[in-house]
This record gives sequence, C-alpha cells and structure tokens, in this order.
Amino acid sequence: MNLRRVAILFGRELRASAGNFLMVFAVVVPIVFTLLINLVFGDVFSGKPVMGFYDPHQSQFTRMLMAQGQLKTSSYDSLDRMIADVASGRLETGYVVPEGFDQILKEGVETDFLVYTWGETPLKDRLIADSTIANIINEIAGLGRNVTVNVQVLGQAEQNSLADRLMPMLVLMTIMLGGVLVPALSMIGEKQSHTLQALNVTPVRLGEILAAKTLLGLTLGTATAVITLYLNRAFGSDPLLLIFVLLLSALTASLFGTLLGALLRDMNTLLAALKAGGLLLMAPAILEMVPKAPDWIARIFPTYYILNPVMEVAERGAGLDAILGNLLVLAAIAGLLVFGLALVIERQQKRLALF
Amino acid sequence: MTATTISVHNLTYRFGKLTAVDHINFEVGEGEVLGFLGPNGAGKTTTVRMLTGQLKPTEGNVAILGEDIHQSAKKVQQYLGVSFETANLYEEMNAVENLNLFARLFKIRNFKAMDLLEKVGLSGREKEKVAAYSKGMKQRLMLARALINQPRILFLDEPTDGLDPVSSQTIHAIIRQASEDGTTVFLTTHDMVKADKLSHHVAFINKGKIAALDQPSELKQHYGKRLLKVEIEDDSGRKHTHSLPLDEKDSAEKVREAFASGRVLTAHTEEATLEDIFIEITGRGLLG
Repeated sequence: MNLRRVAILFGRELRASAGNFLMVFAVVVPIVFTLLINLVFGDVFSGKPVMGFYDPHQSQFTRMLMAQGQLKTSSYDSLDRMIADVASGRLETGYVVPEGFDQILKEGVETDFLVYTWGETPLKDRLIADSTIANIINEIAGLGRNVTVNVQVLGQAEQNSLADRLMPMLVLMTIMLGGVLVPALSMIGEKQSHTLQALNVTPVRLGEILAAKTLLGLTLGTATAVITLYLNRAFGSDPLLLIFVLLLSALTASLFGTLLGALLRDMNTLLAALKAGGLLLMAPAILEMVPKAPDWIARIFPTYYILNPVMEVAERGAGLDAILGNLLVLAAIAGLLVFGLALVIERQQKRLALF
Repeated sequence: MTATTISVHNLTYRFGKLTAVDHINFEVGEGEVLGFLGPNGAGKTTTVRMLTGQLKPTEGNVAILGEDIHQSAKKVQQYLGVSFETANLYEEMNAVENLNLFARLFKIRNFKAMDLLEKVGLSGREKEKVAAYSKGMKQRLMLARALINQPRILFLDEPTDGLDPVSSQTIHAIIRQASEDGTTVFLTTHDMVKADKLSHHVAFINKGKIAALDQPSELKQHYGKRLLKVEIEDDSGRKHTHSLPLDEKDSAEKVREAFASGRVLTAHTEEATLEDIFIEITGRGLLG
C-alpha cells in the first residue's frame, strides 16, 4: 500500500464531502440535534449541576458559590427570568438570596431561603448542590467545611432525565452517520459515476481506495463525535482516553461503512439496507432509553461495543481498566471487518467484482 | 518490423454459460493504430477490460509491453492510457483539478494541465465544474486524462461517439499524432468510416470471435466489390439508377448496355466500405 496515494485520495474525499449534500447531512445532523436538545431541555448533559442565583445585593455567599468547581452557575438580574429558566429545564435549581444574607449567617439568625427546582433534576445533582451550599453557609457562619459528598451510583440509574437518556442515542448516531454512512456513500457514489473504473486502470490499488474511504469515515466520525461531546460538556475525566476510544469506535464504524459500500451496488440498496438495519445498529442506544432493560440484551448488538466505552468514559468518568474488556471486543470486531475488506480485495483481484 | 506492444493469445472470457470473448489471437505493434470493430455486445469492451487489467481472462493470456498484464497489472498500467465510452470524471471538480489528481496518482512531476487542455481544445473552460460540461467536452477531457502519463499504449473506447465534427477532428488529430510519436492506439468503435481513416489494421469482432484482421485496404481488396453507379434518364424523362459491379466477367457488357439505355446524367465509381465488408463476412450489421 502506497501511503502517498492514500493521502491524495483522502484529500479528494474530504473535498468532495464538503460539497455533497448527503455527506454534509451526515456530519451536521448530530450537531444540530445536540443544539436542539440543549435548546429544548436546557444544558442538561453537563456533568455538573446547573444553578442560578437571583442576588441583587451580590452577597459573599453567591460569590463563593460561583467560584465552586463542581457547579455550573449563572447570575440573574431578573427573578422572573430565573424562574422561567428553571421551569424550562435550562437551570436545575434557582436560588433567591435574601437581602443581608451574609450577615444573617454570621449572626446565626433564623431565615427563609427560597429555592426553585426543576422537576427532572437528577437526585445526585440535587445532593451535590445542597451539600455545596451547606458547606458555603457553614464557612460564612464560621463553622468551616464539614460535608463532603461522594456519590456512588449503584445499579441502573432510574432517575435520568429524558435528555440524559437521549445522550447515548446522539453519540451513537454521530459515530454511525459520520463513520458508516459517509464512506459507504462515497464508495457507492464512485461506483455509480464509474470513477472507480478510471482509478482501476492507474497504479492505484483497490486497497488504497478502501483505505482512503475508511480514513474519511474515521476522521468525520471522530470529529463530529468530539464536537457533539464538547457541546454537551461530556468529556469525562480523561480526555486522552476518550479520544482514543472515539478513534477506535469511529474506525470500526468506518470499516463497516466501507465494507457496506464495497458490497452494495447502488444508493437505493444502501439506503434500503440502512433503513432495514438501522434499528439493529441503534438498538443499544434505544435500550439505554429503557431504564430497566437488562444490560445483556444490549451486549448482543455489536454497536454496543462502539457506544459503551464512549459513554463510560465521557459520562461516567470510567478509566481504561473499566472498559478494557469491551475495548478488546471492539478491536476484535474491527479485525473481522478488516478481514472482510481483505476478502473483497481478493475477490476483485480474481475477477471484476466491484464495477 | 516494429516491436510488439500487445500480444493476445487464446483470450477467452465467459460470463457463466455465455462466452463473451472466444479464443481470440492478435498482435499490435508499436505506433500502430488497431481499429477493433464490432456491433454492440460483440465482446469489444470485455476484450478492452482484459487488455487493461480490469478483468481476469477465463482462458488465454495477454502480454502488454512484454509483461503478463494480470501478473503485473499495476506495473503495466503505469504505461497505459485509457479513455472510456461512459464519462467517468469527478464532476464536482474542474478540468484542471481532475487532471492534477490523476497526474499526482501517476506521480508525474512538473505536470502542466493547461498544455493538455489546450491540446484537446478545452482551454478557457478549465475552471468550470465538469458537471456543467457537454458530452463532447467530457469526452475530450477523458482523452486528456488518458494522455497524462504519456502512455505507450492508448486504449480509446468510442472516443468520438456522439461528438460534433470539429470535436471529432480534434480527437482524430490527437490519435494520429500519438501514433506518429510511437504510441500504440487500440481504438474500439463501431464507426467503420472513422476506423478506416485512422487505423493501420482493423479487426472485426463478432459474437466474441475475430472474424477478420488486416489492413483496411487489404480487406477491401479481398472482400469488397467495386461498383459503378450510373443515373440515366430514359426517353419518357424518367430517371433510373444502376449499380453495376466492376469485377465480374460481364461487367463491360453491362456498362455498355446501361450507357446506351438513355441519357447519362451522372456516373461515379464506389469502393466497398468496411461496413459492407463486415456484413459480408459476418452476415450482420454493426448496429445489430
């Protein structure tokens, strides 16, 4: 395989993708979905609780809370606007800080503290927010920090918001559209326009063409997944591990897309195949939306091994040890797809298989 | 004697039970133009695909520039230029980008796309996307692409099909020039008139077999019949046209009779065309 020719073909692929409606659709749709979901449900994918403060007197209490790393905070100068944001889910909790609150705390006087909470706020987020506030109150009152909350999630979470449950769907869709659809469309497009035939009478080898298509899917699948996760602020605690996992996931998806493009004859067959098989590809993400669905069902589907490591690292902060088993399965699936592509190349060398 | 560039021995290809190409043999020399003629479905395209390394023969072998094309396809393809019947250009790119892409794949240094575009009459349109090109422009661009690597063998599949006379003339001139420069040209067509003008040798392929292979003049001499066409007006003013064979025993007598039967309006001789010869040899027309 000549890497220089692969790079030339890859450059052409990238350029062609930018002007192709279906390719742009595959890349842009997940990002648009992310923005839409954020617009509808608020900034709910953030790993941190989102809190708002209505504090026209700018108390020390608010300043200290806004400086906390474990919270995402916004300050409001309109109480009505803050209440509206809580009601729509853009804020998980909204605090109305009473006048002279710092002094009240220091003097140990009893007072009311009004908190608005969005109905779908996860319990763990409420716990983190409440304990953080308790710590700040203690600190201002001169009692020091005395509460550290360590949240350990046991069993399947049942209190996830709808938006939380949509996250795996969004991530898998991103990797599948960029990774599978783009190289498959490119391959079939070249077959239908007979440009593969033109390449086939040059020194370019079929393996180089397939490698360029796979590289295209890998690049776009990874890039769109990174953008989607970034927009959702779901980058976990180890971004390097997340990038590695995304690369492996996008590579596997892209190998599948290239194989699909090599085997199918035309665009209609591809779209029919994706319609028929789309449900199977997305099944693990659909199952994630059903809180009580047993994990073993999702494990039946190969795309589970694309989705699970990404979600574990991005959303649950898992390390390499926790996902190693699933990563090995994913690598094995990628190996099988490479073998499939090798068979396609061998078949083409025996006779005219692709064109 | 020129060096042999294409050598085909017992070449056969079967699609299931159908034999598309049936044990054909021929050789083509350096700088020679071979017209490969036959009707649709005769096996022309299948033969070209085998000769250019796109299709592995069921039987037989092909040596291109002394190398077995299927053992060393990628090595040999460095020296081939292929222009296809169906347009297969990157339509989202312009002409220069299309040519530059293939020049880079062939690793051609200091490639000047504009020189080639000028040669095929496309300069001035080089920045338009190929999608906006007419069929003739695409055909010319494909020919330019086939010339990028200064090929030693040029395969042209119906290069002037559907083109206007000016575009056809441009392509004919390029074919002649390539031949004079020592490039072997394998010209696949069902246009016998163009093949007659351009080819040093022609091969008739019919139902997968080569029915005849020779120089056009030899074929005409061997198979063709010369005719005298005479238009005569009789005493009642009606016009008659007579086609009189010139190579038969009583030809002279028939010509005398025709000339005596009325007032001769026009008289001219006609040579057999390659199409006439093809029909005589195969019993079928080129479009059948």
